[in-house]
Amino acid sequence: MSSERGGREIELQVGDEVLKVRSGERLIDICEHHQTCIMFSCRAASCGTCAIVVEQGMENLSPVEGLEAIVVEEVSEGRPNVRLACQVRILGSASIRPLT
Amino acid sequence: MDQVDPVDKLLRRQIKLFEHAHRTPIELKGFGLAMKQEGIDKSKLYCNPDFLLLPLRECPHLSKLRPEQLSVLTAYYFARAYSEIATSESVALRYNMEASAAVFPLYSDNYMVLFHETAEEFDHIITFRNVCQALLGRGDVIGGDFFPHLKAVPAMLERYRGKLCANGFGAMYLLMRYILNLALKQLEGFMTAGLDEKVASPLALQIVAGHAEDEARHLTTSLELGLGLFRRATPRSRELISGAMRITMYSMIDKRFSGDAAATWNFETGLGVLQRALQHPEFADFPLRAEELRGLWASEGIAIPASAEFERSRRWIAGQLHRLAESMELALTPQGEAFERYLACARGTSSSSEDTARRA
Repeated sequence: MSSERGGREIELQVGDEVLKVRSGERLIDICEHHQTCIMFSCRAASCGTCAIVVEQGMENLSPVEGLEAIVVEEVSEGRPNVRLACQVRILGSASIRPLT
Repeated sequence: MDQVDPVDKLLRRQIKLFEHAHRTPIELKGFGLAMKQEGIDKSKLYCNPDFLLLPLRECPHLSKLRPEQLSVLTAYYFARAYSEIATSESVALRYNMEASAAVFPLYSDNYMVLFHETAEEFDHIITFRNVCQALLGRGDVIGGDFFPHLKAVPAMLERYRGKLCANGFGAMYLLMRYILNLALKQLEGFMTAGLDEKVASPLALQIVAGHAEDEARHLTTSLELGLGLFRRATPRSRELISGAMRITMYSMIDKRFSGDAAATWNFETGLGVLQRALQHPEFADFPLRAEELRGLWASEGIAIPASAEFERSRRWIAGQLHRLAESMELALTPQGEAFERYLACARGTSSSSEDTARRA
């Protein structure tokens, strides 16, 4: 659960909701705990269901690694600032929304 | 405007993901063989005991289980999960290739996407057979005789052969595989959730992680390719597939979302595993048999709690079913508390997992 772990408290905006979370948490865990509007399926950077657009704070997210680049290239259709919630760790304040 | 066919787009992505995954071979067999050599490591847990639908804290006898006994119990649960997963994969092997051959030219890249997945399923079955040998002492617990609900799947698919167009047959198989995968992914995806790495069997965690990565691709292929072929199928085929999927989804909702999950799940999962574990030498001094334990829980009003991990897995399944129904434009309209609970889970309005977990 995001609020029980270490890391400083930060604000994360998901769609219209503002959540208080701890830095370092995986975005998918935060979304699952708060039952937010982000949908997810495979949880392993294969399906692209959890694709998000980062509206603010791209620099506050963990870097792209492994399969994420392949899937983002396919699902973003050229749109910038797309990431996968199942791969991203939130390191500072950010604002995101679902891609679709 | 240049429109890319969604099926082609999915297959292009799956080919890239496959190439990425296999640039460094990721066979799981080695982990299974290592586990076979090691047997049950009684200083470790193989899954999170809280995921088992058992009153581990509430029952006066189970709350006194020694760490070694808990280890055996979780090892048995782990082996049971993977014997069921391997059985499901044994069904997938044959139909994967049949569905592929019905739709794609032989040995085309698209055909090979499913061929590659079939090869991976073989690797998994060998691995899980070794897991069962290591933990249960026998590897022959894979197959429809042990999991009758999976035995029914090939017969069901056969009934539709010849009644569906080629795309329809591919869609029916893949969407059915998706639904079966959902049930199994919730087992695998959540049974080690919340388990402290310091007390977990490293081999068990490696097997879960390695298999989950392969299955993430398979799950995506099943859903997106299945939906793509469904949209390409003839109206008559779509109607038949929709009917079959509705029945399957209703049945899953009834089983997974009933108020007393333990009543419908327990014998197959937690209690079934406990019953087996009680035969293990480590439980020789345990004072009661499984039936006596059940009697005790009934007489003392000990409810079986649904853990936070179990509730998370239910919410995940509900979300996936809801998305599938929407994508196929299936109107699901049954009445009843199981359906209401499914809807609440799918919409994110269900009561919190912690509340449910405390009800015992």
